[in-house]
Amino acid sequence: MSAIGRLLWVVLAAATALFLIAPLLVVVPLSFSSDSFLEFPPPGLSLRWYEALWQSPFWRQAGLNTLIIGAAATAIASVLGTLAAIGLWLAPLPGRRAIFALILSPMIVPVIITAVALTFAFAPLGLAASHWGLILAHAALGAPFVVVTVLATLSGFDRTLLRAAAACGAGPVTAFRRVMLPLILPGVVSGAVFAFATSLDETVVVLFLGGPEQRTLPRQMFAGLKDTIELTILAAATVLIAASTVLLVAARLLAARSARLAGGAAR
Amino acid sequence: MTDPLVRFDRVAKSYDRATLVIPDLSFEVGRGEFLTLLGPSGSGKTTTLMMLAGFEAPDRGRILLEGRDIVGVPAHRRNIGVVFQSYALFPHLTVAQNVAFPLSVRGRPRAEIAERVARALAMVRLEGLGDRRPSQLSGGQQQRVALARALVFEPKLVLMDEPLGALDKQLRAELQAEIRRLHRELGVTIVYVTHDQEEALALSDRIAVFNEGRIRQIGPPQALYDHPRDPFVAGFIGENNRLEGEVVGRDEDGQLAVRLGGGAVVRAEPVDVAPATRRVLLSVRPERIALAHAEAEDLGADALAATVVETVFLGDHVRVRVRLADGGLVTVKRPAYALDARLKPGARVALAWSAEHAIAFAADGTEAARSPLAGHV
Ligand SMILES: Nc1ncnc2c1ncn2[C@@H]1O[C@H](COP(=O)(O)OP(=O)(O)OP(=O)(O)O)[C@@H](O)[C@H]1O
Ligand SMILES: [Mg+2]
Repeated sequence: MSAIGRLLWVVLAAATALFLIAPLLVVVPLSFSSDSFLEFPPPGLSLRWYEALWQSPFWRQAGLNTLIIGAAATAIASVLGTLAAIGLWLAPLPGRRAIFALILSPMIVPVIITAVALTFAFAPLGLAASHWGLILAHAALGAPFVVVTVLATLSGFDRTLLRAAAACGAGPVTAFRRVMLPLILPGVVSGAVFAFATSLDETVVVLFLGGPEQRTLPRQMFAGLKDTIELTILAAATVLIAASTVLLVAARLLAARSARLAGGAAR
Repeated sequence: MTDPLVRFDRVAKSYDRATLVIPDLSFEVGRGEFLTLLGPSGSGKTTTLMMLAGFEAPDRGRILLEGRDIVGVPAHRRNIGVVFQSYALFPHLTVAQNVAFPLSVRGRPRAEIAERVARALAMVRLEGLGDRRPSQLSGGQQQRVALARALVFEPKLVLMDEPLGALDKQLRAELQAEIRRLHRELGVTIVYVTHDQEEALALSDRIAVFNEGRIRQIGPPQALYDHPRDPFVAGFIGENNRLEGEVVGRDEDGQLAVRLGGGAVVRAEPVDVAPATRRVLLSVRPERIALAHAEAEDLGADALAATVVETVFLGDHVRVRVRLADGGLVTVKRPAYALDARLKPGARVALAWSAEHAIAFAADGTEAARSPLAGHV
């Protein structure tokens, strides 16, 4: 590559990166502003918006709801997604592609359509405006991530290991628990992180399906924007960004650790 | 065989419900026996072993273990040790944990597990490597761990599917000796799969030669080598010269006089050759052929004239390739120390063998056998 080409390449990459993180560069500093105006750069620094966030019962409830719904949805998505991935991996070919496409559909269908459909489906079941309704909806949105990441890990899993486990006297459940699960754990964990992150910033389904009791952080931010322009929203946004970052880093570290324990064999 | 450990009784297996990979298989494995399933690729050796292990189900027939039909018993309840070609060690467990796995699955107490694992590791000469991970071991060491894992729970029967296939020649010889020793010391019954005939000869009490899902011959190595029942077995075990010829006579003790392409007549021992048979295939082992420079000694009236094509020195022995009058090539194997220095390419030589070392198989299909001329000569 010529020097000019290289320069062009670097500039382009830098511009793309800047474009992607520009919102963060504005939101994060502004959340520490000492003033209540959307003024950049902020005139002074303070933690007043974080204090407001912490002290507001609305925001605290929203944070709690986000955690409860996210955790429960992630748990369900991880279990079902992992089982579905193993089923797809073991299954003989016919029907396999169709089932895979069906499982992935929440990833592809516009969320608004899923939201409308779920609203109609859940209302007669009494699941509208309930925590359980949102948990199930978010589990459906998060499960495809788990299926994809677990399937990716399984492609490096040696089937003979299951036969070896059986030859050692391990029944299917023991073989799964002691041989398969430890080896596909990196896939399960990264899928779970994606599922949690999906639930964390999901707004559309919450708007349709959630009642006043199910206000989550994104929903609260949305409502806050309509009422008053308050920089508390930016503090909440910064918290969400921090949470996502921590999750992603943790997932990477965990995956690297399991891969090392597996001697690289499970990839 | 009285009271065999394993009995296959008319077993048939198909993977696609159309073609029978194993059409009709019956054989027995004696207690403490080392039986090798030998055959070319795709002949059904692995399929047979996997049905015994419980990973594949037969379509028809019974598989008896100590007299009990185990066809419906899942693999993990059969109490059979299995060694896989790919080692199949659990990569997330240490060597000691791998070997402990069958015992801990069976709920043995900790102290007992520790003691038996230590003993098993010593048995395969891996003391001190218990804390390593499989990825930190060489191929040969990994296969030793797999052996220890298959033996540690003291199964009566251990199955091995080409366990040495991925190793280089020297390691293979070393582990063969190890497996022979373990078999001798533990008295365990082993069913072993390989397509390496030398390995089969070195290890086995008996060999079952497979082809296309059928056992062509089963017996002790030497019996198979010296008395193959058909050309396939003769060709698959050991080296072999094949000469086509025509039956021109039969003497009172059953030996045949066979005229080769070049016109020379040799004598041969028939195996399942019907009286009407005309065309036969002679099989002669290279080491059974006497070879002499044409001017040196007289090998007798039966001797064949030939010309040396090349001699290849291989340390302990020399392989001499000669061309017969009809153009056919024959390989002769002679001890290197006894070689006549005049056997250079182009030298004229005489070949001879005693009749019992030339085995004649019927070579004509049905057509020639039914020909009016057959047996008429
Ligand atoms: N899982 C399977 N599905 C379909 N066909 C199979 C399967 N396994 C084996 N076969 C077929 O069955 C036949 C016997 O295969 P098998 O693996 O038993 O042979 P093998 O003697 O072990 O050969 P190799 O020496 O190559 O291991 C082959 O024709 C093979 O293609
Ligand atoms: Mg095989």
